[in-house]
Amino acid sequence: MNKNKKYAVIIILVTNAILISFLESFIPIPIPVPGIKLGLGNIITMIAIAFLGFKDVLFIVIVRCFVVAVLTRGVMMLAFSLSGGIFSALIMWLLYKKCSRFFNIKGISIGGAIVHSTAQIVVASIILGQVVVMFYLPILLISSVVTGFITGSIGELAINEVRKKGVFTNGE
Amino acid sequence: MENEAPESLKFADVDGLIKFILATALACLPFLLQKQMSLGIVSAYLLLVTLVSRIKPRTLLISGASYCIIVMIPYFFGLLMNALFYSVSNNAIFAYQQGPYEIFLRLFRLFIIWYVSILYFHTTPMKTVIGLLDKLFTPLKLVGVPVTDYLKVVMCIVIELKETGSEVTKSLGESMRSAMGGARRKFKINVKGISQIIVSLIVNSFEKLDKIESFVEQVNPEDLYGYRFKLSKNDGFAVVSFILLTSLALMLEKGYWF
Repeated sequence: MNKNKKYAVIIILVTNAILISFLESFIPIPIPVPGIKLGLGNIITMIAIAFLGFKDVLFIVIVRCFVVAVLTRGVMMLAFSLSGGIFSALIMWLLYKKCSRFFNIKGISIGGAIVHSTAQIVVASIILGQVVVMFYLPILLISSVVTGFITGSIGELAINEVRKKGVFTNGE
Repeated sequence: MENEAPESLKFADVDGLIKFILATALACLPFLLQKQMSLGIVSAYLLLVTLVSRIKPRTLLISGASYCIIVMIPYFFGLLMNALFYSVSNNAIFAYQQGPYEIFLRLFRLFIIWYVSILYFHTTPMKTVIGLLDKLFTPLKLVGVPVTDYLKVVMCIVIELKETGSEVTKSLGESMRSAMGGARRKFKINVKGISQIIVSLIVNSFEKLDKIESFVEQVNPEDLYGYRFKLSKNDGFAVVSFILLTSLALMLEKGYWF
C-alpha cells in the first residue's frame, strides 16, 4: 500500500470511528454507571488490528483521540482518552497477534476494555493527585467486562463481514 | 462538530498564538492562588470571556457533564468509600488528610484547565489550531518526522466529518432505530443488526477510497491549514484585561486589598 492510500484508509477509519460513537446513544447499557460507555469506536480499532500494522493502529487511535478532544471535549479529556486508547490498543494487538489461540475477539475486546478503564483511572488519580479514585476501579472493571463483551460481539461479526467483503484486500 | 468561529463573533477574534499563550497562563493562574476572593475574580473573568465569545450554553453543558462524569463522580465516590471504610475499620490507612477547602481548590484548578481548553478550542478555527501545531512541531520536522502529512490527515478527517457527518449520523440513527426496535427498554441488544449497520458504513465509505487518496495526494497543506501572526485591537484588549486580572488576583493574594 502506498503512503497516500494508507492515509486515505486511516482517514476513512477514523471518520467512521467518530461516527460510530454516535450509535451509542441508541444502545442501552445493561449496567448504567456514570463514566461507562460502550466504546463502539473501539470496533474500528479491532478492525485495524485485524487488517493493519501496529504503527497504523496506534496512529488511528492517537488521531481519533486528538480530533474528538479538539472538536468536543477539550484538552484535559485528551489525557484520559489517549492513555485508555493507547494501552487498550497495545493489549488488544498483543492478544490478537500473540495469543489468538487462547482468546477470541470477544475475549480480546474484554481485555482491551479492562485495560482502557484501568489506564483512565490511573491517569485520573495522577491528575487529581489522589489514590481514592481507585475505589471506582472495581465498578469500572465489572462494567468493562459487560461493555467489552458487547463491543467484542459486534466487532467479531464486523471483522468477519469486512474480511468476507474483501474491503482491505480490494484496497491494496 | 463545527468549531469555526462564526462571522458574528469577529469582534471577539484574538490572534491564535496570543490566545494560546493567554489560555495557558489563565489555566496556570489558579495554581498561584489560594484565597476565595481571587478565585472568584478568576471565575468572573472566565464568565465575561464566555459571554464575549458567545459560546453556546449547550456546548458548555455537554462538556460540563463529561467533566462531572469523568472527574468528579469517581473522585467523590472514592472520598465516600474512603470515609466509609475509615468509619467501619478505623484503620489509619483510610484516614484522609485533606480538608474540604483543599478538595475544592484541587477540583477548581482542574475545572479551570478544562474550561479554558473548551473556550480555546470552541473559539479558534481548526485551521489555526493545526497551523499553530505545524509551527510548534518544526523541530520534529527537522529530524524527519512527517508532521505535515499527519496534520494533513487530521484536517482531511475534519473536512470529511463536516461534509458527511450530519448526513451519515442521520441515516445511522434511522437504521439503528429500526435495528433496535423496542429493545431499548428491554436491554436486549441486536448485535447482528448493529454489526450489519457498521459493516455497511465501512464498506460504503471505502467506495470513496480513491477519491480521498487523490485528494490527499493533490492537496497542499497550505490549502488545508495555516497560521500567520496578526495583531489587532482585540489582541491588545485581551492582553491588557489579562494583565489587569493577574495583577488584581495577585494583589488580593498578597493582602494589599481587603
